[in-house]
Amino acid sequence: MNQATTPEILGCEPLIIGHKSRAEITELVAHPLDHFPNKIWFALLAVSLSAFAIGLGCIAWLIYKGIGVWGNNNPVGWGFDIVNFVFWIGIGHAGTLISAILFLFRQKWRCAINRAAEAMTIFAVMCAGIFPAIHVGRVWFAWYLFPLPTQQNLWVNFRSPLLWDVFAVSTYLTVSALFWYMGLVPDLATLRDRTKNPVKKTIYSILSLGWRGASRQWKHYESAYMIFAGLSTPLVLSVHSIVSFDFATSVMPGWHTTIFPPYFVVGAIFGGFAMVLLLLSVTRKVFHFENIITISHLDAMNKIILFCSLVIGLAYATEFFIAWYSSNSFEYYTFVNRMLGPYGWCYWIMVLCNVMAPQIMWFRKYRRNILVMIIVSFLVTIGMWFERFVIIATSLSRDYLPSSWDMYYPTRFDFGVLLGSFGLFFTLYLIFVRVLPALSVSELKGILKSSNPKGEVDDVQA
Amino acid sequence: MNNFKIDMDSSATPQDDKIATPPAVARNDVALNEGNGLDVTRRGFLSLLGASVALATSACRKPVHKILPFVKEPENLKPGISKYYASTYPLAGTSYGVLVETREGRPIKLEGNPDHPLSQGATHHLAQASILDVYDSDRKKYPTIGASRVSWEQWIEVTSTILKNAQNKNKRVCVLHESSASPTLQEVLRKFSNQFKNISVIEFEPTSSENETIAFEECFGLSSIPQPKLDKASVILSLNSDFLGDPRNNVSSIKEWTKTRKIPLQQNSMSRLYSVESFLSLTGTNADHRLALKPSQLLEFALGLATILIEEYQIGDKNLIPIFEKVSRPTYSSAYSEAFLKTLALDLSENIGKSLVLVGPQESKELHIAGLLLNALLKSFSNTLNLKNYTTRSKNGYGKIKNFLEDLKHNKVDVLVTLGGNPAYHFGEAFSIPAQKIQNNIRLSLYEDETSQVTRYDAPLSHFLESWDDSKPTSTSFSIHQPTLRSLYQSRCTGEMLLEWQAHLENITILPTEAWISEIKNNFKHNWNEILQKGYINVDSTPLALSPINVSAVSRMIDEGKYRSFGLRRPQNDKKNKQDDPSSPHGFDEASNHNDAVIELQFEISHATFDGRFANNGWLQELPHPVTKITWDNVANMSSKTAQTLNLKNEDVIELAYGNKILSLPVFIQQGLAEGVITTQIGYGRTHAGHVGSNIGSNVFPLLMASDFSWSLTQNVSINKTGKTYKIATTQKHADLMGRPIAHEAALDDYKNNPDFPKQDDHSESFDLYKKEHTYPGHKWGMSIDLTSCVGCNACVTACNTENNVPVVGKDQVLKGREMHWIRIDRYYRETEQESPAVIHEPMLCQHCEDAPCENVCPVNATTHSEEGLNEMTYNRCIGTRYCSNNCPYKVRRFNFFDYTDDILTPEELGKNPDVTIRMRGVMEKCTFCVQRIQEARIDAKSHGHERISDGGVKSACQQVCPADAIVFGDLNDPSSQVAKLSKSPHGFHILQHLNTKPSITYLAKIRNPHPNLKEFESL
Repeated sequence: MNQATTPEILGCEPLIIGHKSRAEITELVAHPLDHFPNKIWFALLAVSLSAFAIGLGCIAWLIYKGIGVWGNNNPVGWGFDIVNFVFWIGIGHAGTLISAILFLFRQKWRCAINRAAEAMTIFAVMCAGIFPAIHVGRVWFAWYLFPLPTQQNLWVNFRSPLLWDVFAVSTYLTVSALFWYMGLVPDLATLRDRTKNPVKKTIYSILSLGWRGASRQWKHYESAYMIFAGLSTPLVLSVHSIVSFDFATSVMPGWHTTIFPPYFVVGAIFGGFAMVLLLLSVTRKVFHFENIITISHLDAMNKIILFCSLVIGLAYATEFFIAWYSSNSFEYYTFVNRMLGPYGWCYWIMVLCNVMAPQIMWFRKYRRNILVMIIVSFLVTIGMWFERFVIIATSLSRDYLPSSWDMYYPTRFDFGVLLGSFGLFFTLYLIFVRVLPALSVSELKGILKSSNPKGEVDDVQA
Repeated sequence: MNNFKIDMDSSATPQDDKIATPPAVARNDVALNEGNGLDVTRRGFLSLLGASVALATSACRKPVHKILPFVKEPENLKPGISKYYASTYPLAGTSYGVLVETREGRPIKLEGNPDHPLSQGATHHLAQASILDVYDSDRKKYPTIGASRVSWEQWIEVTSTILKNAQNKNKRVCVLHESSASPTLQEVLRKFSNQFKNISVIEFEPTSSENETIAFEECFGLSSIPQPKLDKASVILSLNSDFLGDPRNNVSSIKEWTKTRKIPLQQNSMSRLYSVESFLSLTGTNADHRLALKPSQLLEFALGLATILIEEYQIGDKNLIPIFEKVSRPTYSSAYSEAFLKTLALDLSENIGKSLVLVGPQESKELHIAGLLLNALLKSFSNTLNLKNYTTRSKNGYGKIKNFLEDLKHNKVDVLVTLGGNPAYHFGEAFSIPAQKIQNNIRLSLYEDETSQVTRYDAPLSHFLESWDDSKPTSTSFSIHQPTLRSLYQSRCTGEMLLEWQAHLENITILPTEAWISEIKNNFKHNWNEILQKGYINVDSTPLALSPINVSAVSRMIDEGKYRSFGLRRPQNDKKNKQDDPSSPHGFDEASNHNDAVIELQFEISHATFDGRFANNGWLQELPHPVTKITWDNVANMSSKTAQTLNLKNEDVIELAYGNKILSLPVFIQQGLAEGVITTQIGYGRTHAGHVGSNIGSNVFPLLMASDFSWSLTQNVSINKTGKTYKIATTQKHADLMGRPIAHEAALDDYKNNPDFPKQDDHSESFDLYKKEHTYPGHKWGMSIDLTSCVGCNACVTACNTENNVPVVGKDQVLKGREMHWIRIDRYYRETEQESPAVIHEPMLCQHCEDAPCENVCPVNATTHSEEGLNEMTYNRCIGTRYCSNNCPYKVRRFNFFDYTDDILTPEELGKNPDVTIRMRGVMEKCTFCVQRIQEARIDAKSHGHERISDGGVKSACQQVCPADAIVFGDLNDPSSQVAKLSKSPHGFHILQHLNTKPSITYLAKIRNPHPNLKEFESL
């Protein structure tokens, strides 16, 4: 075995701790797939599935009775439904950023986290996709949203940002899913080759699409991977920009601002990274991936969280400044109301979680402390959910004519569907880590010293 | 309780219900004479079972309803074409002419009769909502004896025998009936009562204005009261008179009053309204100056005003001076109250012959005498009070009822006949306990209500839309009721029933409906066809010969009047009073401030249920109170100061005790009330109103009973905080304009100097990315709303509900902010230098913006712009994203959060407008500018060979009903149209102009007419 020094990238930290052979990597990643899950996994799955079932029950009742089972009312036409939608779409962004943008920037450390993050993206977008579908008053006509040529000769309204959403989100889901699946193909082939279980073998054989590991295949694979990374990169920016257009192109005070697209994108990456951190800090512990997803990986992600937090804080401040500077009394009132109005507590939770809490990451000691990062990520996840709530509820509940001002109070069905979306997300993730390799085996092998005869990590000339 | 027994072979089971004679003019093919159908036989049950199994097994698709042509086509009946019948809307002894729109024999909407002087084409909210009443599924459906259903023949047989026995045995008969303006009914009732030797006929209305009649009799010796001519008055003083809100006369009042307040000015002047009141009424919110007083201070105020007029301005007879020497000069607790009274006196003295003092109909006799004296001093009679047009009302107050209830209690009544009304609700146990003991208790009623529970022989009464009648509300107007629908249930009107009883007593046979019609025909001998067509004829009347006011009546009132108990006395120290004590409440007289802790209770007529009779009408229950915007409840209104003193918060439940009666009500903090005053509304707390109206709010009548129907309790009211809270459903939670330029107003003088002031308030410049304006080659529909004229009466809201089949959502949904009204009236309070806020009523409906924010955000193109400038909703295409509603700056879009129409009970659907789709759940809806009316007018214009719809050819429902003529709808492309002219008014503005939505509705800013001496207090 080659005893050369392990490649380093995160400052001076090794990418993979210890000297692992290719077989060891394969063993480590395939281990959870080879063994029957333990009781803890089943307990967690039971909890997630129950939450999902509650959500499904709430959705069934919603479709049977009408939107009225939620708390939405006349000034506040959107409540938890769209809050959750924006929240979940945002969560997805970290995965795409890691898999596409970090790939293009040759950030090799992404190899340890990209598979799980990409899976999370797809699951988050699936959760997000529920909400636009069920938030409409007549679900059975939701297909009107697609430009289907029918005898009615009716076309969709291309001026509506909600329609752009339909295209943006469906494109995003498609591209993310394909990208993820393509990355899986070599790993699926590895699994196919080592399994003895005939059922598994059949499934992996079908899914691996006849991958043999030939250099021709690798050549095509890498070109395709590059193309997908190129396709996904603008999506990272466009999807949440378009989601923000739902608000930015409206006339509502507090919504109608040009800062929304960048502000939403950064917010999405912020929330997404927090969710990736939460998931990986648990996954690496349970599956003993500590040497592959090292503390330095987590440290790097914490730096991104800190950076996003600063940008978000700046965005909050800019919004207030512009509200004051514009001399638009409606705009100004909306922002004062955000801070001091009836939903002021939501605003302060948002500031505390999104701006204050991540500041602890200035310290290396805390960046490398698992407990601290779990708490911070958890707070950021809450804070980002509240950010969307604040944007939607405060602007709608007090808009132009004071006569129509009214409060929005969520009902148990609102909470039920939110719980259900988390249930779906964790159910899918729990299944994922048990049936598919949670780490990208082939890419990890690519960053092993032994995989490069010249002792260089980066075999592409800069 | 509806504990009907299923009676297998009782002889009481009717065999054939259809013998009931149909009214002569039966234009209806719909007969719902089946009732509840609870008397099912075994065979019937089995056949029903078989049928339902058959239906259930084949119920995979909607049942097929075939549309069949008439075998004999009725003349002039065209399916889909409305027919209008002239009729009359009656309410508590008053009435006005209406036109009833019918479709295929079903009334679907009421419009005012333009020929009738009390309507002039407009109606109020109650008339609009009466469509829901006639189709109410809770109406009484068949005659009953005890708990069992009987046929009409049996019922008449039994009741006639009872009456015959009473006639023969000289038993005591009491007939209790509600007020009616019908001379024919009076005549029939008189003839009926002549049959008996021992009979007392008692007329009763809980909202009786008996005190007014008594006061007039004492002062002038006449029982006919001249009607005000509001359009002739320059200065009006209202003493607790809600002439703009009281549905008994507000249609004509609003019509006349707003004529004097039109901009541009008629005859270069505008009337001025002063309001002195103990509640905050619609009139108070429209007054140029308003003074909030306690109920006990009103008489002092009136006498104080009279004193100033007599002593300072030397107005009136010399012999009044010694009388008024006994009255103390008023003292003032605030600079405003002093300025108010002095300015009012000055203004009145300068407008003698052009002034008018109006006193609330329910006020005390003493206040009415004071009001009459003021009118006499100001020479209002024959100038602003019409001596040729007067009303003659019988005494229908509590006076006679008291004796009757005594008799009832002591078993002195053998036969009790109640015709309409609901005495068990109004008098409570004082009526219901003894009435229950009376065996011969006969009644005609619209509902199975509280009184039905204690009545043995109960039969259904016809709704006014189903009956013949006539009406003479004032001496000069005479109108007719004609049925527009065959009785839905086998019901009869009072006149028919009385005639039938009489025929039985005389042992003759008659056809009651024919007999009743011929009685009515007697009044219209020559002009029967004319009256049927026009609904109204003008009759001549001899003018009242009015003698000078009886000074001794005034003197007696001052000597013995109740005002002494209020503590009116000569001021001890004038200087002290001149100091403005900011901490002192906004009372009028120092003398009565010593007992501020005393809570005074003031009752109001309910805007929604009137006296409780309309409690089962969902449209009315859900209609926001014009001032408080409360739906579905009565509350204890009090000022924030009062609440603070009593340590109460909004929605705290309190118990108001008077005598041994306790009333439990939630607190609602209301601006503009004097400290120590609590106001509440009658007409709630019905226990047997029906599935909509039962157990809503609290019943105030026990307190009214305890106080002998005095509408204000000035003493001995105690308050107990219960510690409970109660949710009050209002449709507007924020009353403050927040300094936003959305409802412009100005004083008349400022307007004259600067007529385009609203445009200067809005600094935004119109900037458009699109260089080319969109053109509308045909019509371009638009509207103008005059905020000066709009009094906020809610007629438009109900008219829109009726016209557009707007669903009722219920209190729980209103609490969540999901009311469905397409038009709402925003009411804003503006702080002033005195405690009473300045109020603006601003009707708000879809603005039909040219650059509509709702249109471009709809992903499926469900809301689009028409070629004529309408913002249209396509319900079929709507998937319900609610994005359009979010993006509407006016928040006028309404979403069907649930299926609000799935609980429509038969036969309510018959009253729906067939031209307007019933919306299902999950779709957005909003004002359409009555697009169905535009289409109708278009077809009409085309069929007459016109290319365009002429101006006035189409009226929106809200415009048509508006008594103030504040809403004008029409074609903006036609420069000669009224709306085009009004939209160009200098004081016209668009709400939220800076958003550049380019609304099609132009609002005309509110112009107030404050007196120069008082302007500083209005902070205009």
